[in-house]
Amino acid sequence: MTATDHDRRPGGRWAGGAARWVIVPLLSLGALGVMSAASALWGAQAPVSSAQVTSGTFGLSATWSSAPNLTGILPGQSRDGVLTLQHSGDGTWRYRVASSHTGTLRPTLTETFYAGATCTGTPVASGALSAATLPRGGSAQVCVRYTLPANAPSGLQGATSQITLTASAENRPS
Amino acid sequence: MTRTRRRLLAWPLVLTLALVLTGGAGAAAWWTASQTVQATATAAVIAPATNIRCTTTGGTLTRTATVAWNAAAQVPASYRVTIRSGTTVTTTTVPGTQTQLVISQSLLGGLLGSILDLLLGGAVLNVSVQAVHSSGWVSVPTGTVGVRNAPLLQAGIVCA
Repeated sequence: MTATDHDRRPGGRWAGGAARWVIVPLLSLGALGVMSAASALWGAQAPVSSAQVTSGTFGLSATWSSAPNLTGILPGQSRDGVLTLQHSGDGTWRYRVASSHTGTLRPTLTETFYAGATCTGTPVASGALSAATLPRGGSAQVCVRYTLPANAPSGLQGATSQITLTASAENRPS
Repeated sequence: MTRTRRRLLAWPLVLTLALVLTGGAGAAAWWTASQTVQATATAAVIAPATNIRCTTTGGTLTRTATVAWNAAAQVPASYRVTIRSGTTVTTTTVPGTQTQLVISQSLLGGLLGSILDLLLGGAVLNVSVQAVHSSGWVSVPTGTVGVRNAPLLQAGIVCA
């Protein structure tokens, strides 16, 4: 039976066409196998130590190295705290610190972030990504200043707020 | 070329495109880690004066009411003394080191004029004290004491 005869049979065009889509790749793979076998004739082998591939790790701890004393704060007063971020794992990283709160005091009590252990220099916006990329396993300090404005209303006496700072590290190329 | 063949030819292209797109997105994803710390903030409360009391002093024709109080736990910048009768209110301020105020007709005359008129008309004036911090925050008032015009045959102001 010729290919022409095969194609002429009812339904034969579909069967024959599908067969070609299967056969041609198989033949190609077969050819590659032959070539591989042929190249082995010319190749040289040397043992290499087995390589173990593992995924990296990436972690962050955030602690107050100097917790701010925010008890009994008065209008016009500022209180500082220093947050230490410690990276663990692999990869270079950058960080951001954002704040959330509950309670009635915090909307009036202002919060300002500074890169470093002292609340000096140019403030960093809450939630902004740190300017510098830090090495693996490195640490960073963030100074946080809380200020109750001088014009805070007297009705805020005894008001409280629970403040939560969320420090996030992101793996970034150096 | 039949529709079936066109579909068969199209699949590898679709798969290749999908691999390229998803592979690129995977490479761009960052590792992230986060942790939270907390702090509790509490605004100060201005300590009030306590134990407000009134003592009538002076001779029969020069009665005065001396209103005194115990100092606040933290010495304030000043004390605000409020004198009230109904909706009429006036205030005077004394230094934070002072813990009494002699209420006389001359004092009332120098304050809101109608206060003295009310007193002379027989009304009882209620006196309370608040500690005032240098920031401007004021404490809650102490309790109140009353003063009134001296009865017949006397002159001045006495404790009610």
